[in-house]
Amino acid sequence: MKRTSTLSNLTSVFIFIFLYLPMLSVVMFSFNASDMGLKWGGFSLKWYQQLVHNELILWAAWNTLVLAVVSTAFSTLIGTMLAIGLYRFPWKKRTAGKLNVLLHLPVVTPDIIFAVALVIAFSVIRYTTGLFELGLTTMIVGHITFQIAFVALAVRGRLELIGHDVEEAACDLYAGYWRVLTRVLLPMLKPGIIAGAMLAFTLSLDDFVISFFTCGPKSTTLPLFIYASVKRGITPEIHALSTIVMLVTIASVALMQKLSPNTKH
Amino acid sequence: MGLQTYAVCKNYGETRALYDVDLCVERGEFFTLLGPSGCGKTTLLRIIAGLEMADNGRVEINGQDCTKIRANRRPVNTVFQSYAMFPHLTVLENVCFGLISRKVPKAEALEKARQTLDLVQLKGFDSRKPDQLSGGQRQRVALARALANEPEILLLDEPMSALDAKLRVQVQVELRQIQQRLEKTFIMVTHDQEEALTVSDRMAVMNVGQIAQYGTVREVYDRPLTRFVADFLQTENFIEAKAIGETEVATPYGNWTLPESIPWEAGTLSVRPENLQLARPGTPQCDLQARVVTNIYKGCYQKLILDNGLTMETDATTILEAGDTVGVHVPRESIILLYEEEIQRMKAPAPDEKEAAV
Repeated sequence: MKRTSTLSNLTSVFIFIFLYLPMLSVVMFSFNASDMGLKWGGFSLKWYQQLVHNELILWAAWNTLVLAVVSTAFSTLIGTMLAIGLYRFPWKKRTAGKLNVLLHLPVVTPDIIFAVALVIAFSVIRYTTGLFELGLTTMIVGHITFQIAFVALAVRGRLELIGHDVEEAACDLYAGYWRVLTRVLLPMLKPGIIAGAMLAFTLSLDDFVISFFTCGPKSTTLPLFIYASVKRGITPEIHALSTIVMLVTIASVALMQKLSPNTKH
Repeated sequence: MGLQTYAVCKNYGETRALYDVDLCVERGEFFTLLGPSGCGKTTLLRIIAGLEMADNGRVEINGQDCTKIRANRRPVNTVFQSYAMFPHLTVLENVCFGLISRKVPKAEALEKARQTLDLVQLKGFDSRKPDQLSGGQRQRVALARALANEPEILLLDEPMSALDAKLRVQVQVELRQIQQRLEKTFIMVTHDQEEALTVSDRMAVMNVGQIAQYGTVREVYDRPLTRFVADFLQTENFIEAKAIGETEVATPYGNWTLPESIPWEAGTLSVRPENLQLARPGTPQCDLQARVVTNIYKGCYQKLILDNGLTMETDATTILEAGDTVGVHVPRESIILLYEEEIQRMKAPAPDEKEAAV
């Protein structure tokens, strides 16, 4: 009995090491004073200082943030409306099944195919209307298209949990559509909406493939920047950058946990 | 006039949920829709609430045609089976919800909500959330939330199904007392005949989307008209019989003279187990003899299952065991004459209606 518990403890420790050692090493090397290689040259913050003064990196960080925030805002709004619409409308069973497949499709489609499809769609639109020059706008649109499905799925899961009862109860208590939506449905959906938005935000933050295909010359994001620099060799500066990105991600996950308490309804 | 429905019909695709339901509920009475699951009772309640629209027919509340009016504009409120609490609102906010919807000033709404919570004996829970309440307390909040709006009719959809047996009996009595104090029209749906008898003035027994019988609880309990109703109200003993005279029938247990004239040539009689009496074999009182197959002890009475197919209940003081022979007296006035199921004709729609339904 005791042996198995030691064994399982050891296993979980190893799994954690396996998961977090690479990341920890990145964090460690970001504080390494020596320029190259794996030699420890003492603690230093100079790479972070360089980072702050690198115009290209700051520009990429700004692009990443704008892209993530704007696309998340739009996809959260559209995804939530989509989920509510799909759930409330009395679809026939067969139609509902097909819609379900359609909703999952963007989630399971390989990124690369999605990206190529977007490029083609954008070029067709550009050809006919002259709009959608590749750049931040096309990236935002691209991100929204795949984020919507994630948001809608998160919100729909919540809707199914809530059921039709409370909505009917609100209606029975003289609430019109707007009151049902704002006083009952949205407050109850809040955890689902926040979870969906956070998911969309982190997906956008670290997306590479779709950004790579839909970006323009001036709309480099952090993942794209890191990819381009790594080709010239990994520098401690990249370590520092990665550490910051990691921190932001951890912070947003923590925020999500805090904003959506585990309620059982 | 409380509620009146005329020829209400409802279909779900091919499935018929309600057919030609005429219902009349007087103002101030406690009315119960009783029936097995799938009989359409909940659908009928939802149509009265406006949560579901009838395909055909009319719904009138206090003489006003409400057939096409949506739920949020009907002067009725519902206690849902699941209670459908708003989990993000406090008890007080839940109870206020309907009043605020109707633009009652906040102070007035709060006052009214507190009064109603008093009425259902739930003081001191104002700022709790529903998930901090027990099942019984949540049920009271659901009741208060509906009653606070002073609806013309209160609808209750199996309101006690989630409570344990002991609490259920207590709540039934309280519900009846509240209804009598407020003199409001209550319409309740249940599948529990005891619950229906405890709380209602009148009830309707439903079967396959139709009302099989309705009347005061006493009428329906004492005089079920069809085999379905009798069976649902657990008369248990069914006896096939043939008419052999104006008031005389031939049964497998002998020829009996009934106190009323017999309306059919051959049909079914029923008699409740508690109406059968023990009789000393050989006396004129003794109508039949039988052996006891099983004796089920129920505390204040015992239930005897006899080898001739009858079931009887007698007080537990007479000690009887399986294998004992007993004489049974069948009091003639307790025999119920059952009629052919009238609904039979309505079960299969006439050809022209069938087309209309398609």
